[in-house]
Amino acid sequence: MSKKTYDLLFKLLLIGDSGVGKTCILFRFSDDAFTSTFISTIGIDFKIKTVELRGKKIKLQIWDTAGQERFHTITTSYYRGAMGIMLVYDITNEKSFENIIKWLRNIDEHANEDVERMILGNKCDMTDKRVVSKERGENIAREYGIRFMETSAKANINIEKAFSELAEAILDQTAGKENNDNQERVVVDRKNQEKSPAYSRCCTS
Amino acid sequence: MGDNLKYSILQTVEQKFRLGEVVLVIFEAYQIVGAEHQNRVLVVVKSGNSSALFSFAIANYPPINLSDLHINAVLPINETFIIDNRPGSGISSHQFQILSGNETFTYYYYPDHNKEQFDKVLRKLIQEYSEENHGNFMWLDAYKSSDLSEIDLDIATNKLPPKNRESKFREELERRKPEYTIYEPYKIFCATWNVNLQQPKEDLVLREWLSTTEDAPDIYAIGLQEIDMSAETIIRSETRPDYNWIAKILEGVHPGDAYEELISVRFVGMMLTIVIKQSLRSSVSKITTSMVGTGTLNFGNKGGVGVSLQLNENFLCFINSHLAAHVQEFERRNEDHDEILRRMQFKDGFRTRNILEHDQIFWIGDLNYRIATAIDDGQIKNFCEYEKLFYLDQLYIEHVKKKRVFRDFQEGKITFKPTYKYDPGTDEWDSSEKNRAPAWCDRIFWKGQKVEQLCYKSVMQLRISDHKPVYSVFITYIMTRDEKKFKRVHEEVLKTVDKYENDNQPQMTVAETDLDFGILRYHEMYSRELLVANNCHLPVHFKFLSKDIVSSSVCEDWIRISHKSGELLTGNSMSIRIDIFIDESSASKIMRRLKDAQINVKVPLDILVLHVENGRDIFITVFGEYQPSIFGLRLDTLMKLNKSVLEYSLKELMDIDDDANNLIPFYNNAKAPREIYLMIDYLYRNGLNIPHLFTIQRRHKLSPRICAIRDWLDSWSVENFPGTPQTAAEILLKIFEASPEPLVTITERELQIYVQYFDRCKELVQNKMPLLNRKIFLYVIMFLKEIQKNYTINGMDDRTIAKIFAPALCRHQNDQFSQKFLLLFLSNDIKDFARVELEKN
Repeated sequence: MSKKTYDLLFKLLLIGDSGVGKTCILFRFSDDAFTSTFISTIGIDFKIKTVELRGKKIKLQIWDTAGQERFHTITTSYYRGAMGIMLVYDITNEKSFENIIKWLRNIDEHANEDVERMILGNKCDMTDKRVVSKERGENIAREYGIRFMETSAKANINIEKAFSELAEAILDQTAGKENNDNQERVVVDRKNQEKSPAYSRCCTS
Repeated sequence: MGDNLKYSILQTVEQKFRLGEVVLVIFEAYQIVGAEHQNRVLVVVKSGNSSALFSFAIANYPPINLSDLHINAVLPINETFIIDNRPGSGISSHQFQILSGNETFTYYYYPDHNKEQFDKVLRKLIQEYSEENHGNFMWLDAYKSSDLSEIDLDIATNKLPPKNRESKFREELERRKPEYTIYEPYKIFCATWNVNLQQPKEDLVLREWLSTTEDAPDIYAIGLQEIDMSAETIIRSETRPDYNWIAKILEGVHPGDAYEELISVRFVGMMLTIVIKQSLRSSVSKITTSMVGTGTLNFGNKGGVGVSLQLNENFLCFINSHLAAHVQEFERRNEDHDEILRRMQFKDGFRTRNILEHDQIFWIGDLNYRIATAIDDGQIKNFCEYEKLFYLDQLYIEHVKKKRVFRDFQEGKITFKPTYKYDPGTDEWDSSEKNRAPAWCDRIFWKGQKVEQLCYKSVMQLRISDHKPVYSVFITYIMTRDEKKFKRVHEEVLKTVDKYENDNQPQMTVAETDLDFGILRYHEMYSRELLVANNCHLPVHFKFLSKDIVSSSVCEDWIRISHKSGELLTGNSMSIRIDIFIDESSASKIMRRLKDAQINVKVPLDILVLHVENGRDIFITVFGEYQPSIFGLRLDTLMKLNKSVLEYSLKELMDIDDDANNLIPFYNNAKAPREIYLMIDYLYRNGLNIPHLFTIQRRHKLSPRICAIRDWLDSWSVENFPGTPQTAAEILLKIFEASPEPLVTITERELQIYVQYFDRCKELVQNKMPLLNRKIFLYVIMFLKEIQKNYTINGMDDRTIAKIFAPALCRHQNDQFSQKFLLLFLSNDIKDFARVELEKN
């Protein structure tokens, strides 16, 4: 067994309105913990977690973005370089669901063309406060041809699954590319990507 | 401690814990670390049937954010937990000690803090534990690993870089090796024979020597000496293995399994052959050989040959040596031994391994030590109790008594007759002329853990040589990786490494992410301090990043940041000063930025991106409102104002500004905006004779009077002008510079083409400049001509004037042509032209 700590590095990004649970999703995934205290993310945070898919160790570097409206322009500059984006809404918050369209547009404008997307309807444990039905989530995902899942960071529902499905989709794409382009376009350059975060110009400093 | 404060600390503390972990009591104390008093919050937490005392260090008091609290000790309340309140020899009677495990922590409490409740809770928990006498403390692991064990002082103080992921991974995998390591038994057969230059004849059968065990050994290490000592062999330093012997050996090994020769190494008369079970071949790697000659001129009639190999996780070394001969030469033998030990190196790629760098070492050979006896050789031959002679064996003396050679090596008990020297073909002692005394020349030593000798024997029946062969069988336990267990540990280690990387992200805290500057006014300096601190255990490098691809600046040009990058060591903090100064270049921009601001809704003036190297980015939002001033408005807007600028809202002003095409209302038939008129009028009356009224260096650029004049102009004051001619002159330039568009709307390119011709320039003024701008321009030129007239007194010649005014009026990248352009108007008679233009409506 290889002594390398990972074979591939994937950068993922969490976006969505403020308060939908992006940080909690990340926290659940990376630390398997949940805190109900709401601390607004004022900036860009990241955590890493290594998963194994099809015998490959994949290091996920997951960027958590500030959801507050006033940061939207700034956070879009972090889209570039992301290989997968999770758009999160809150099933108890109609507005956060309506804004998915806006977030999708943001992705179109700012992210790499071949970025893998996934919509997550979070807080699915709060059934009594639900205002967005699962069907509506599924419909919008179908309309845009995107993966969809309802999750709960609190009850730990579908969190692992969401990340591994997204990672798997990227892996599929990566594998496809490697074959087509005769391996010339390797998607992840371990050395370079390790150093520079998704943010486009923070370079190696 | 006030109840409110206590409650807010409790709230922050509670965030540190997970569901089901209940904070029972908190108590503030301090510890003395070096010369410092460091605040601690002691927190007693219960989870299920167990509880613990947490000691938190406080980065900011009172702690508000999670990051303000750092765990500095986690003490399970178990049988080792003791709280000692006796005022000992300590420096304060408010001292108490907590003992847990092998550690003692000394705390001090504030005299005005009541410790009773804290003590009571702890006593109760200690009591509870002693009754139950067990508790599940697993939940504490989450707190221990991240905050305690990972802190490395050398890293925190910047002496060492943080470990990278890969090295942490290797370290962790190594640390947990026992969890996935098992020891598997391997049978190793070592054999040595000095064959006395005999070639193996067809009828020679080695089974009697090599196949004497019940089970088939896993590995054979067979050392021969004196396979060929001809002059030719010696001179050529023969290294080609002798395949006659190897074939014979392969015939002679245990018939119970399939074997193959792994490797043979030969040096002149010595040869070492390693034979293994074929089924083991894939477990063996890194096979290397080495040879050392010690005889005369290192020719190799004496010396050693060795094989190094890796079997599963262990490194094994086999050495076959032939040391110097003759009874009296034991010192030479000792030296040969030393030399082999020193010089024998096994090179595997870049890695060189010496003999002692192996887990298990088997050293065999004709070591040639004799029996050091006073009795004559003949007597030895007739002596039957050989075990008594053994204490006279030179090697026994050198090895066991003097510890001179084979230090830390072991040898089994010798229960066989001396193996030298026999008359070939017989079991009779040497009867030749030399009449050599018998000796245990042929020996087997080993060193290493988990090696057991099963037997150590000689073989009398092989009689072709003057030596008898010797062999020894060992069971060794070889470290082997259990792949199943390894896979599980590997997965866990990956998780640990992920956690390590997450926990070792440099973190920086910022006192506030919203910086509200309140009301901003033109030409005043506003400052806020941004307090940043490093509360993590790693040094932090930070810098502000630019937000968009187009510009490289990290903030709007009216903002200054005192430290755009920097470094903070653990526990340090610093204050970054953020200044805002709205000058003529930014006045109009900030008004446009804020024009849609609704009352009571804060609009960000800018968002700064504070980047922590290898860590997160923090967004700092700069808020502020702007009090509009005439500076930064369009010149035609100024013409349209029918009351002081202070009576307009920013939005109203911007609406007028945006509506540039709207005509200037009829009631205003002035030739220039009020503010320009007032300045020129004042200067006309008070400034024409003042030396250095305008200076190229703009000496009055930052004069404190500027703000007074601003207020005077903005409020349409009827008071006396609060400035001086010099500051009025500066204000005049500032009005032009602050306007969103230049007064002279002729491009640099146009001037470049036509600036030679005054008539063409006049046409440009007529055709390219709006009427208002044209009027203001000529009005200003007429005034400047008056200044120029007093050149002898005020020192302002036309060139100086052009140099100062060209940038303000034209704002070209290069002032070369605009200066020439102004010079044309200053040096030519423009009375008629001006009169016509100024009359126009």
